Amino acid sequence: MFSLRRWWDRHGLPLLLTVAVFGLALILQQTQGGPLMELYGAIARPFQPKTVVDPTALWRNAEIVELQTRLANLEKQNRVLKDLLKYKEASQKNAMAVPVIGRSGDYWLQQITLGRGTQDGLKVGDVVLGVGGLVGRITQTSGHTSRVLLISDPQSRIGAMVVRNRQAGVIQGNQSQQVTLKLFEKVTDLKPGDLVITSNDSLFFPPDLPIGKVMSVDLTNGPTPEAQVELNVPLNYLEWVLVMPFQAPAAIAPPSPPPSSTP
Amino acid sequence: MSEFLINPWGRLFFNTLVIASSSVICCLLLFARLPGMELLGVGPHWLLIWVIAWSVHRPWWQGAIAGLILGLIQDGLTQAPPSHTLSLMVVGILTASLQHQRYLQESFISLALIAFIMTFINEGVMAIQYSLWTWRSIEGLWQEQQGVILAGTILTSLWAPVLGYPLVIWWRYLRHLEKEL
Repeated sequence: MFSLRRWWDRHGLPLLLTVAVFGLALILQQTQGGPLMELYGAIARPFQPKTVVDPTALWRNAEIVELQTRLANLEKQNRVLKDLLKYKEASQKNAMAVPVIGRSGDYWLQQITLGRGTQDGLKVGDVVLGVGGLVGRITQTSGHTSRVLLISDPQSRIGAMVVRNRQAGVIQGNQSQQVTLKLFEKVTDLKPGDLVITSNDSLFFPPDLPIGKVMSVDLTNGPTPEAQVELNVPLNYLEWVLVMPFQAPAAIAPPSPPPSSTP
Repeated sequence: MSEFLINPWGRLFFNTLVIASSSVICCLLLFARLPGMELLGVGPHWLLIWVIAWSVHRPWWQGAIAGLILGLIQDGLTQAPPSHTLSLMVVGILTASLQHQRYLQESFISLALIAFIMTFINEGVMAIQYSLWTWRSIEGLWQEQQGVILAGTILTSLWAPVLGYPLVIWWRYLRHLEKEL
């Protein structure tokens, strides 16, 4: 008994401290680093840019005005046609401008940290857009910050469609500014310069969001054609993003098992 | 201040303060990309530097515990599979096994050298976990990540003495005090 008491006197306190710190680390891991994210958001708040870039400076360019006019006209026609077909789509009217306060916490995961969280109405699954198109989706939130998984991460797989020939495929990130588009069909007339958008098949993203432009097509590698798509949004220079509320449709329920044939 | 440190509870309190504040600052710095601390979109791996500073003069099991705890925290800040605990534990054990006081004398430069090698080892263990988790080949992963890994290695080894040297000196001073008293 004496030696146990002596051991406890010498090693008891460091042991207790180690167990306490281990418990703290487990808590941090289970809460996805919630308290640390809140602390980072609080420290970064004085450094956030105060105003969004003023868009009126761009309107002086006449060519942009012409394109906007034509775009507005086409959108109006499109909306009338969709109303005729009773077509439902996600609206960009509720999008909120959110500052980017941090980047990824390690060298492998492509993510960014935003300066708004659940207190401002953001939820897991909301779609994040930048100037130019799709950026990613929110995967974790805390009270005042949230984390976005970028589409350049290899875990991101998005249902995509080529605008010109309406062929569908899947886009997967390559940890760079270029992503890989794998088409579903063997025969294609895809060429560099084609534009790629999200398709109706995509579960986590609403359709018709711009993704990028095809840079090169590879017809021989793999069973179906692959293309390298350059993303529109410069992911390394993001300062402000638009967050669009979006809820992934509920998963399709598995088919019910056939009734058992026991008498 | 030295009267405060003569008291063993004062030493414990101050050491706890140093450990807690330095590790929290490392976690917060992971997200920041301050000018001068960024290359190719990545910054130094501050938690790795902390594990190295902790493990250089400690037994291997204490390095492993530090790697485990900081790996869990980094998993919470990024994502869990692949886990950072394995790679940081390997780094902690290897750094502690270096027997720093026997083989390498000068702390400032040797920290940079240790950080250089340990970043490679850390990213190597992460790459192995990644290739097992996503069924991709290591060569393919290396092709994609080589720029980022090399940039991260350079940054981590350059900034390791800045964070690591004060911490190493502080713990060396604590050990000296505990031997004297």
